[in-house]
Amino acid sequence: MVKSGDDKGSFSQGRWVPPPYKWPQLKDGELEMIRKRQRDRARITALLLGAFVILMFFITIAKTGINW
Amino acid sequence: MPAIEMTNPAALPADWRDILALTKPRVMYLVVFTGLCGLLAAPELPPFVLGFTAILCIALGAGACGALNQWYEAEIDAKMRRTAKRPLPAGRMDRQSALHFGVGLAVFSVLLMGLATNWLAAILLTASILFYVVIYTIWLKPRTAQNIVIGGAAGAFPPLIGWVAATGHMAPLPLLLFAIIFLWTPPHFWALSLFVRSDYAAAGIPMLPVIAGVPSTRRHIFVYSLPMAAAAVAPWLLGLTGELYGICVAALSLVFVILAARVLANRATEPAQMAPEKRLFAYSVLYLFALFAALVADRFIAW
Repeated sequence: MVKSGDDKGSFSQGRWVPPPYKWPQLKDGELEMIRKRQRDRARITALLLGAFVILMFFITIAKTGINW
Repeated sequence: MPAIEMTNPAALPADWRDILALTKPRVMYLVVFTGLCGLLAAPELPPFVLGFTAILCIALGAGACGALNQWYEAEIDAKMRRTAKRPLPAGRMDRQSALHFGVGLAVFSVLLMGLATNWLAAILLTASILFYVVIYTIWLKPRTAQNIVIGGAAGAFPPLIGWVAATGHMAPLPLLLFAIIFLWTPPHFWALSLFVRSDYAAAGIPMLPVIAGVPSTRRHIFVYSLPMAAAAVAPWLLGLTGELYGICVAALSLVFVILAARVLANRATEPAQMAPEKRLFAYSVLYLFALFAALVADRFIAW
């Protein structure tokens, strides 16, 4: 049973219970901006990872001395 | 000056443009160019993809240096007009993210360099990153007016790294290229610091014009331009390059020394009247580009 509850957390059966996480209050349009930035970053990360895989493939070919 | 929010837990995810800005892309051009020229001047060229990877690693290492520099100097940047709009002082990004990004990029660039080319090049890349971040940014810059003299070594590494990435060993020519950039850095930065010295003074950075005054800095610029010019023509005099390089660089260095002499002769103390200093700063960038371009042109003509 929770003995007391406020923003600083509370104690229940001798154990400290953290307060529930409060999501920051977002203003109009902020959620869309967050989603847009997340999408942009995910796309760029995917492109960079793809480029890295291709680069590693060609580095391996060059290091092993295979001539095409 | 408003207080900056150094860490905002509820901050928006950083825009990719701000992450890119952390790497100081405009500073990177010269680093990449000198590294590429160091690689192209080598007697043996690696396969294209390995050469490309070596230059990519130099660029990523320079980007890591930029990010770690901005992470450490966020509070100083907020006090300077020139840097106040950067992502950290402007509050568009939190400091911890910049640190993680910088360290991650540095480790990635070194590992990739070692795997793709050779571990001597990777060690030199590590040395250049540590020199820039630890020796220059953290230790020398806030402590001594000679910060740029010793710290200039950090920016001198790229041609050496490029050469070693191509050949796997050091040689006199890349060491001279290192010396040229090392000696070029003080007059280049002191010319800039003369006309933005109020910014440096406000931020508490002991740059030479702030500590020793404007006339002393002008004398330093002229005096340092002489060994720089000597180092620039040394590869030709020692027979390490051909006449094309020698003639081009002798002419370029003569113009540099003349512009440095005009700076020495200037008596103005207001930034608005420092046309010779601004001219020398702009020319110094062109000088380094032209010197390395002449080196590569000379190498390919010799072939």
